[in-house]
Amino acid sequence: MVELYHVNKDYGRGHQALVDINLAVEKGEFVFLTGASGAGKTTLLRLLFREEIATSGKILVDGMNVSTLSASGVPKLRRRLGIVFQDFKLLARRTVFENVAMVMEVTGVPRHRQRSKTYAVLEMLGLNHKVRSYPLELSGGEQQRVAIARALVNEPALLLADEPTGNLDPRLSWDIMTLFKTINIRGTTVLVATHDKDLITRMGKRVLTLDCGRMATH
Amino acid sequence: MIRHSVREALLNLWRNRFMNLVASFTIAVSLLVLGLFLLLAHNLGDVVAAVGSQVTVSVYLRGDASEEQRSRLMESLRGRPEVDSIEYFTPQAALEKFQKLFPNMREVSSELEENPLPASVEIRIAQGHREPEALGRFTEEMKRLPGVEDADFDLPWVTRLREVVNMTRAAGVSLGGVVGLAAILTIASVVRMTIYGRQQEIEIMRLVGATRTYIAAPFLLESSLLGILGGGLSLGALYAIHRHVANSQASLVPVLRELLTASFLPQSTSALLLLLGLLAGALGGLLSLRRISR
Repeated sequence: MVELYHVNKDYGRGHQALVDINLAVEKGEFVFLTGASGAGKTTLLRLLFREEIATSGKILVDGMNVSTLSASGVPKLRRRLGIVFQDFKLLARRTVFENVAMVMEVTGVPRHRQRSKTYAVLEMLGLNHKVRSYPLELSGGEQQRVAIARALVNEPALLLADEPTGNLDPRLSWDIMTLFKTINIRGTTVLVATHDKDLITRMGKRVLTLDCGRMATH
Repeated sequence: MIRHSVREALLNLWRNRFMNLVASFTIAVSLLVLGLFLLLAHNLGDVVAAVGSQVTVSVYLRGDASEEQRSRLMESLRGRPEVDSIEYFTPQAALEKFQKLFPNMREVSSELEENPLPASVEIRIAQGHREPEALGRFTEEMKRLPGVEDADFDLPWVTRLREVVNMTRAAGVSLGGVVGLAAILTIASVVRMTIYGRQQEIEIMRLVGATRTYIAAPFLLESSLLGILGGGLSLGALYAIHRHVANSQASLVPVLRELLTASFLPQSTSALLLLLGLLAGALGGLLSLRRISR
């Protein structure tokens, strides 16, 4: 599902974010990406959905060569993914429903299907009573769950999450991880970037560690 | 996608209505300038067409010309191939015609004790005999006839009028063009401001896989609608001016007044103004979108 070959990301002036990264994530795997702040976790994720372009190396995501994607190919890539951002990135002027449905609006899913899928995923995340609320009316945990709902509603092949529990208390964090595990069992490949060591230990999944931009070998 | 774009565009037009109104006004002003000149040129063009189809030679009779001389003159003219039609004006009729053409001079002319204007024969020249040399020769011949004081033809006047029409149109187009450019840039900055305001929204749409077309379409539609609105406003203003000048006793130069009120723009020209508004809006939108899309 995800393959990186000798990937480098250089921002110039001696700032090398990623150095010679080689990794592979199989379809259906659940993998943690960890490392200290600034180690390059977010950068690596951003390379996967083409928010950044690698300086060198090859990146394959769900069979698509991300490095050589044209500008028009990028939307196609992103529609295969579900991305959870650390800062949620919800639209403040839209309701919870609209925030989640927007993903399907953008891909031309018919209205009635949008409704049913949105309600389904919001229910799965325990948010059906907040459907008409606005993001700013929600707690941090609820906002994060909306962001996760949005990432999941299109049933992506690959779920990328950047510190999805960074703003949540331990119990809620564990709930979210359990949810991810369920999704993973259903077939979605999951890649989670986090520096919550306890969570990683408890989950017992494969771990990739970044150290100053390099892949640490276990 | 079309429904989405239309809905988004209308929603956002309403949300930023003040800014959008300003942008529309800017386009409206430039189109109004253009429209005014087009209106003048249109009416002027009508005059020229009417007059141009009449190349006339005016033959002025002597004060002491006898009735016999006059009728013999008219007879001889009727048969000639150059002559399309002839019209005789008594001195009184000539005076009335003069007063109608120059209403401001009415008082002056009515105070004169004697009518200074001569009797005249207006000869409409037929097609095929309107070349300047032929006209010149014909006129010279008229001058030599008994009872004739003088004769002239007015071709230079018509040519000059045609030049004036073309110049008016050109002036209107260039002036309109300059102002139009300003309008396009204004709309571009309005759209850009709108885009900045929605930067976050656009970013998120991109991150979930919206194509550039999907994101850009509402903006483009918005700016085009602004343009059409501007065009509509300019037409409305132009019509208001047209009717106001017609109804009021405003002391405009009679010629200008006539040129503004003789008739309104033909439908095709009105449609052109709307289309230009649309184009200006669309261009403005495209301009600002280019700078945003990466």
